[in-house]
Amino acid sequence: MKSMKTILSTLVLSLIFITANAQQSFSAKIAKVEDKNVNNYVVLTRKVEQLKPILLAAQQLAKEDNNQFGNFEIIVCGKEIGDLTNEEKMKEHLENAERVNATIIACGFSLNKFKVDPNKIPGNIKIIDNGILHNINLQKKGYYSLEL
Amino acid sequence: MKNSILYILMFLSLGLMAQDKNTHTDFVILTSQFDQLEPILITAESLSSKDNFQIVLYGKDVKQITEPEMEKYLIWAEKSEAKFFVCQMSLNRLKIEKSELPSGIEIVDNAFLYSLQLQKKGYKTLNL
Repeated sequence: MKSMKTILSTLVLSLIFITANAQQSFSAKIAKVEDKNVNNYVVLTRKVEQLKPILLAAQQLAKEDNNQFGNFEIIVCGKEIGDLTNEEKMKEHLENAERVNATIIACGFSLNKFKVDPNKIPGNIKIIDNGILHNINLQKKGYYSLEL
Repeated sequence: MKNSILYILMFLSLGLMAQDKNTHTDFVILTSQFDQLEPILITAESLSSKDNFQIVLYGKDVKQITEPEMEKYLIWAEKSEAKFFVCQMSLNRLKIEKSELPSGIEIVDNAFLYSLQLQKKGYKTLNL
């Protein structure tokens, strides 16, 4: 009788394990399917001059991913954020970003901290409250991330 | 009955082993600071179960790889099964020729692109 109980409990435990395994692989499959649909990217940078290699990377990834190329967001934060108001410096970057459908985002927290007037930020640059939080939220959604 | 339990357990352990095989053990570390090479290589040394450990250098500090000090890091990397890469865009900017690089360092076109490409392949990444 005792051995029967042991056998039964082992079987129940095994079933639980198998079900858990199956669930895991099922959710893994769903995640993969989502990944297969599109690749999204987020790059956090503290240097405006890095926009050039970042946008070249975006261009190449768009080519590689083709239909699976999703969002490419570039968050600028830190003390050099004032450079975003420099029209001359930004012209080429903004054109390149538009060409590859990448979004340049300014961190509102940095604008505030380094006393940069948000009205001087070009209209095609999006402003969000907190660049770090935005980056983490996108990573949670499965974005590939680079923090420079 | 005992036999069937044994089969179930064997089946389960096989399942777990298969799951283990799926875990990625490839790493890429992107750094712009030469003095971070030491802690990075200590990390590479301690990771015994790695398949791939790549260190990509970019930025101003890239010029230091042409200095004699780099030799010890290259030997260390070889012992720790780590590989060094350097960004071509940084080399261009600093006007460093390929011939000036010590052997054992490979060149990638764009460090940022390279890191994102490896992430897509399932590498674990650290950007310093």
